[in-house]
Amino acid sequence: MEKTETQLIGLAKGGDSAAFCELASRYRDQLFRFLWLRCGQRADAEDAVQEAMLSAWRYLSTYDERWQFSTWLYRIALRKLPKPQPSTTDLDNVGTPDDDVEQFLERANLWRVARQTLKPEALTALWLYYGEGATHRDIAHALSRSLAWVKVNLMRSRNRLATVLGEKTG
Amino acid sequence: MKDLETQLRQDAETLRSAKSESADASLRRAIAAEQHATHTRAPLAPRWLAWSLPIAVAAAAAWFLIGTPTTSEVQEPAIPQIANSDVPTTLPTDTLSLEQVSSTAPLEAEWEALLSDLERARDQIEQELRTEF
Repeated sequence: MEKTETQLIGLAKGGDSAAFCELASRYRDQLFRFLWLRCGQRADAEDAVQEAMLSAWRYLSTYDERWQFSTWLYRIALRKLPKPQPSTTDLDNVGTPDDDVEQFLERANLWRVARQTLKPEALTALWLYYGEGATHRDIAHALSRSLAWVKVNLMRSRNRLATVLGEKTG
Repeated sequence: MKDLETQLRQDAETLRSAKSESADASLRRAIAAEQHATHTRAPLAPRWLAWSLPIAVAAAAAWFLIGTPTTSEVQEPAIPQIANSDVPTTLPTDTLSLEQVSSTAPLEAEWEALLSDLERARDQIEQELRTEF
């Protein structure tokens, strides 16, 4: 019978690396998508996933069960992403023609527009809410932001997207 | 706005079909290597410092207390009896000379240096613990 997440976490905390690897395999793709959308490069996202999983294994004893395991992984993974180049930090968007995630998403895909329009953190919050179905509370914890910040930014992002789409179609 | 939300959820499906190409095996190997390294590696300097720090502090405190004369050990210099009419022409020989007074300065300097070293070691440990995670 397949073990539950709680069982796997308990076993992994006791030093069972096989249990942790099973846990990691359940979240690998989810974490990868989150990081790929954020950083744009598949290779960087793959590296960050691996590093985040290793850090999660090292510090599993510090995991607080009050939060979802995925939320804890997001928090770790965000620290593992390569720092943005100094020349691009002033830009309002994260999308560049070189990003392979842009090529993966179809031209008409709304997430492609979102990447080109929103700031990285706003895009991340939007993805966690609409792409992964995370709650406001979990997003706030994952991004180390307040609940109010999450709600306000989701609203701003929707408004910004609606404006941009209106400009494009209008 | 409702349409936009629906569209966001629908379009997310494209990205949700993306899969990581890294295999479970690479994580297993990395964890195994880490476990092996943990079991075989020599104690790290910060860990060594962590347990030796209290001993060093205790030793330094003991050395300081033993090296410093207690109040009962300090002999008060005898106050020369001077009559009102007597005007001293020379300094009394049983008072502390300037050299004697300043001889405690190196002891204080060493204590300060030791404290400073201990604080640096503590800062380094804290820094390494912060950066490790």
